[in-house]
Amino acid sequence: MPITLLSLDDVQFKVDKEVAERSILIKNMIEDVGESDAPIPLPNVSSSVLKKVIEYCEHHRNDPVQTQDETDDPRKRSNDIEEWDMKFMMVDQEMLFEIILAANYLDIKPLLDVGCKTVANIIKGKTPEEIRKVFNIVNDFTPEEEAQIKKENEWAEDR
Amino acid sequence: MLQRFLGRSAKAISADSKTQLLKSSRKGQHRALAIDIILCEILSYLSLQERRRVKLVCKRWNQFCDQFWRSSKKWTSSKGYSPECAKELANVYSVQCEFSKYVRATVDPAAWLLFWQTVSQARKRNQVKQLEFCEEVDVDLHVIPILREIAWVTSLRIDANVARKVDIQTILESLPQLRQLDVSGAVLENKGNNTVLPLSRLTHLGLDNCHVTQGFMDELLDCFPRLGSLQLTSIYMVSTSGRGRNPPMDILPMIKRCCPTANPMLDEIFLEASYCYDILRALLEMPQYLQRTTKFRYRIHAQSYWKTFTTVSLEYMTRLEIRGKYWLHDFPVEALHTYLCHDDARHLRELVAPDIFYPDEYLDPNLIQKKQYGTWSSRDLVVLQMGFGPEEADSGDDTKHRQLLTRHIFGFIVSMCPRLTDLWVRCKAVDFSLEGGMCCLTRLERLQTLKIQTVDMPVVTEHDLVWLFHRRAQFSSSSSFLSSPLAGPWRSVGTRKSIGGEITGNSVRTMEKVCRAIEGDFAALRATRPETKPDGISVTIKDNHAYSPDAERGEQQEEDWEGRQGSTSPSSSSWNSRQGGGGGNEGNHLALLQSLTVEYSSERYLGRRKEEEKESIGPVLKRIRPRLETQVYFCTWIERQYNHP
Repeated sequence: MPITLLSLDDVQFKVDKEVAERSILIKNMIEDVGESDAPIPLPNVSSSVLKKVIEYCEHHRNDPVQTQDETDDPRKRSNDIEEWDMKFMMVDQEMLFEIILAANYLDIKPLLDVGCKTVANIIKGKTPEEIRKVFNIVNDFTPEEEAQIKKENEWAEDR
Repeated sequence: MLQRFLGRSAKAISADSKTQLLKSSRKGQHRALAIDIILCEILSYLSLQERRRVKLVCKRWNQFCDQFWRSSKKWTSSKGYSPECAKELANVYSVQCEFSKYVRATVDPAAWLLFWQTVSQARKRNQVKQLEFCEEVDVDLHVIPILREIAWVTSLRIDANVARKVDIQTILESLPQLRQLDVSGAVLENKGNNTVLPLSRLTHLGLDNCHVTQGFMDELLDCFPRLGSLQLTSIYMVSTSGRGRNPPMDILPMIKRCCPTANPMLDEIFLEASYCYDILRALLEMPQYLQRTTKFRYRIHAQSYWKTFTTVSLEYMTRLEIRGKYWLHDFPVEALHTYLCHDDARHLRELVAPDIFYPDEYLDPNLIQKKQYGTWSSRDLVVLQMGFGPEEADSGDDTKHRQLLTRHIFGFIVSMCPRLTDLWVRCKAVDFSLEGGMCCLTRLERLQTLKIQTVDMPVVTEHDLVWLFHRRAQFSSSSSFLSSPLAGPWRSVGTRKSIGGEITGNSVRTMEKVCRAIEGDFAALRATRPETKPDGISVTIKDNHAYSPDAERGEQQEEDWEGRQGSTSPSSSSWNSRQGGGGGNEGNHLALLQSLTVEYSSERYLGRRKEEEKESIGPVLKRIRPRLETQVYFCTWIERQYNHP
């Protein structure tokens, strides 16, 4: 039975139940409310983002659900993104962060992981100045504060 | 968007803002938390070096990296969860966090709800890994609707200061994994006269000060077939005619069913004298319902109950707790002595005695002789906790007096309770420097835990430390071995399977020596028992006393002692020289260190030996911090102080 999702801008999306249930949030809502024809409102997600999220869920509809034990790896790696996911994440940064926020809201852990890994990969290997430039972040340190942090980090630098 | 997401002002997670955040609308809270969670998640994919570098991006990132680091240790709060903790907690979810065994919430339900939602969310993502080990979670009764958020909790304690209504059915149904439940102080709601409780696997149920119905009590043991411990410190019966304390016999039908044939699991009932005296007396007068293995923990607060207490046959009591502080001339002190000398106490194994002022006369051999008919039937005591103190505040300052007092206390305990395995002594000051020192303790052949809590630093001689060191294989728990900071020398304490200890020292030099000693012990243990593991080796360096004359003396003693013991330890105190020495882990005296806290309590002192400290600790930090990623905790303000020229 298809489920209807209602985005922030009142656009309706019809998706299969198993696709919608990739989102733990939606899954719980269906369990709580029971199956009905009424659209499920998602007031934090716009239609353009929801479309992307549904695309991701459609592609991963047959993936096994990650269990707690499988993800219990303290060593987090960001270089193990699948090829399709990598292409999927090739969007502008605005959309990238909206997808991450939506994944967090909808509780889609694999999508959130992929999004965070993608951002982490962007950050990796860059100097603070480069990071600021990429993400358009204003350096709000005073020169003294910056010098202080550098000094604090001195002892920790590789020998 | 990006700036909003990643470059939000650092103020966003400051304490004030956090408080505001809690007050703001729920939606806003979630949004702010979501962004914080995501930023933490992103940062978690960075290596330690990268994280250090991105600290320079902006204030917010810097703050997050600091928080990230800090919360990666564990979040503990003895004061409990309060709005002030919100800042800390804001980032706890971001990493592996290990809560203290005791998480308490007495704050407004909204903050607590938010907290649990955060934790639960993080837990789903597997960032919070060790919450299952929460032994107790205190939760305000207002937030029972969020119980489903914490369905994984195995132990729940609802601490109601005033009696509030609790629907125990809802709790049991919402928390299927619950094994221990404490609903002290609550009014247990029942829908209708007979409460229908779901069958539960509870092993412990605490009903202190609860208002319950007769139906509930009758049904209790049937619903909890696995109940092993029942806490009934005081019970108020609620009858149809109104609330009030019922005659004690009302719960006797239930207690009768505690007998082994009816309920083989239940072997511990905890009663409190001040309320349940009548119940206890009635109970103990019916020994046919009890078996000898049934433990009765009996706690006494009210002084007036002593007189009646001593007239009761307590043949089946295995644990006695007496709380409060008493002076020698108080009746309870004599009563305690009488009690301990009475044949009735022959099954007593655990005694938590009150603090008694002043013990000299209490321990007077003449007094014992007068009561010798009992010759301390409690010779089988295995656990003893006692407190002693001088009647006048300044009378304990005399060294000779302290020495005699120490000898009295420990000599008395050792001769009267030779089978102790756990001994805790609270005392203002302990001085073992009188000839013989701790030698009397050697008679306690079964001793596994020795805890001496003192206000002043205990004085222990070198011989005693050597003795402790040689006895260490027998001690089951190294961490509870000595709780007080020692000014003098310290050796690590190992058990059969692990080696560890909590060491509080006054200086970097102390830490150096401690680490070296632990390393040596560890190597020796590994040689004979390869399975030996390091267990909670932590060092705290406090400078509170570092420059006081006492501490200087302590340092000096340490030097002397180390000098005499020095045959197995390298004499050099320079970290750099050891780094140069190489030799892999065996030569690395910091390889086992699992936690290091450096606390500078006063800037005033810092200036004095700043350069010296800097020389010694700088290389230490450099050496261990990158390696022990999540296990080294530093107070950041201290580092900042430290790094300032």
